[in-house]
Parts: sequence; structure tokens; C-alpha cells
Amino acid sequence: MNQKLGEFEEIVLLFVAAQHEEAYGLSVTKAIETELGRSVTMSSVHTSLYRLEEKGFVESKIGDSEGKRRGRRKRIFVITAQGKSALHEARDARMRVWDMIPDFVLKFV
Amino acid sequence: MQEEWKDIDPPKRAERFFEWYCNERLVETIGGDLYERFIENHEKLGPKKANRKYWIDVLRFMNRHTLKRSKTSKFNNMSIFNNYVKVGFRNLIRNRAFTVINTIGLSVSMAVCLIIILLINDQMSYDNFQANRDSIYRFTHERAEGINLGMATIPQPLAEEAQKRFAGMTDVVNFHRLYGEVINEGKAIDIFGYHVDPGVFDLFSYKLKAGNPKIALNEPYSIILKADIAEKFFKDEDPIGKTMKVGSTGNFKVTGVLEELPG
Repeated sequence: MNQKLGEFEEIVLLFVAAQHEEAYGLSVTKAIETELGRSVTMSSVHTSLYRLEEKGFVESKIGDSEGKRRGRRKRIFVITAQGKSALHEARDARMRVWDMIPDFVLKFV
Repeated sequence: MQEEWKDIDPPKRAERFFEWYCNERLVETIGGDLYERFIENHEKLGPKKANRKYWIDVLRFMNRHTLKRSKTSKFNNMSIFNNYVKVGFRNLIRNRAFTVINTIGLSVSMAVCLIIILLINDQMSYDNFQANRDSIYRFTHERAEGINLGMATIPQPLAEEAQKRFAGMTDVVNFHRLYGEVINEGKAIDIFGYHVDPGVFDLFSYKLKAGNPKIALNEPYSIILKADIAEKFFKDEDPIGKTMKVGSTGNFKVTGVLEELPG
């Protein structure tokens, strides 16, 4: 039940949450490319979306066919309650590590 | 302007390949994403790069989520076979030492069997090109008394005598060993052969690359060489008609070159 969230999965999940009700494979890929400046293949994003679905962090449904896709519909991913708590957990873990860093280390960057 | 993209097709084969391998549940949505990306690349990078990227994407999408899986079998009784496989595997893991012994033993014995099959197969294929192979016999020598060493040597006059006395012998050919050194370009090379009767080409189906088998051995001191030996001694020259001295036996005249034996 209590599945762990991978690093890349965390990023994907964040974008799914950010693009609420509008997130599908390509949109998340593009967002990662533009917002984070990371080059990422569409298939890896799709794969981690399906993985997230298997773990129960997102739910998918068939959406509209808007856009240049010849009438093929999108698979829209929406974050679940479990996904939200996983995101919180991930952030808290990160914050705890941030708090462990002594002040002077970050002062003189 | 706005509808221009509708006429642009991604590579047909890639599309068909994708539709072939992809799971029905995902084929529409992923296909849409692929197409959207393709049109985007087409506008930004041109058709050539877009086509290539489309191919790469299609190939990259193959994974355990997208591939078709027929997990639910039509026949329910398949599950019992799956169970057998699983239980068998668990037993193998549990008795690890015996598993190792058995697998090694089995693989060694299978390897030995295969080698034996190859060996027998090779031996059975030996001399199969001989057309008269069913009616060729060899005289052997057996001692009536004392220690019997089976030998394929017989007194020389027996050939003629046997043909005279018994019916049904079409050709009788004597083989007698011939050894000797041939001096070639200052080097002595050992050669090995047989003295034979002229009838040898009627009895056996050896073919000559050069020379006439009907008359090649009519005269004494004629010799027929194997192709590789002929090449060794005479290089590119025509060996027919050349003479060579074999040991102390005498000078032989080359009257034929044997074709490479099959098998």
C-alpha cells in the first residue's frame, strides 16, 4: 500500500497536480522541458504516469480530443488523495534535510 | 492555414507498427500524443527530423505498459500448467545442490549425445558419392590358425585368379602403397599414394579435373595427382605431361588431376 515515490515520478506528479484536470502525457513532457529545462522523452513520462497509476497516486480518464491529434482523445491524469499525501511527504522529507543544513553553509554561496 | 497540419502524415510504417504492438487501451491516447508531437516537430524542425523523431518515439514507447498482453487465457485449464511450472521452479530452488548436479549432468550428457550424432552422421556420409557403393567389396586376410590379425592385404596374384574362377566380378583393382620423396625446388616433399590397376575409374566414381580417365593409367609409370598436390608442385602450369621422380621408385608421368573429393 504505502508505495514510495521515485525522484522522477515526484516531478511528474508535481506537474500533474499543477496542470489540474488538464495533464496528459505530452503536456507534462512539454512542461518538464520548458519549466525545468530538462530534456525528457515522451515515453518515459508516459511510463512513469502509468506507474503512478499502478501505485494509486493518479487516476486516469479519457478526455477531449482538442489539439492537433486527428480526433484522438487524450488520457487525462488527475492526482488522487494518496498522491497528494505522497507529495506532502516528499516535500516534508526534503524540508527536514534542508533544516539539517547549518546556516553558515548556505550563507556564503 | 489552420487546417494545413491535417494533410501531414507521420511515417506510415512507424504508425502501423505502433498500432500493431500497442495495447488497445492505450493506442488512442498515446497515438494522439505522438501525432501532436510530430506536428510540432514538423513545424519547428522540418519533415526530415520530425519523421526521425517520430520513429524514435514509436520505438521508445515499447515497454511493459504498452505491449499487448494476453494474460487472461481462453482456457481456464492453462492455470494448472502455470501452477506446475511455478511449483517445479520452487522445488528447483529448494533443492539447489541436486538441481545443480542434475542440470550439469543433463547438459553434459546431451552434449555427448549430440557429438555422437554428429560423429555417426559424418561416418555414414563417408564415400556416399561412390555410384557403385553397394557392390564394392574388399578382400581381407584372415589367418586360420594362431593369432588372427584382421588385415586388408592379400597376395597379389589372387586378383587375377579370383576373377578367372568366380563369376560376377566385373572389375578387380589392386591397391598397393606408394611412398616417396619428391624433390621440388630443392626441398624434399613426402608424398603418399597407391599403385592401382587401370580399372580403378570403372570401379570407383573418382572424377578427373584434367586428363582422360579411360587412358590415363594405360601406360606404366603414369601418375594422377590430387588437385592440391598438383598445385603445390606445378603452381599455375598445366601438370599434364610433366614428369616427377618419386623416391627410388622411378620417374612418373602426370596424366591426370583428381577433382576435389566431395564431403
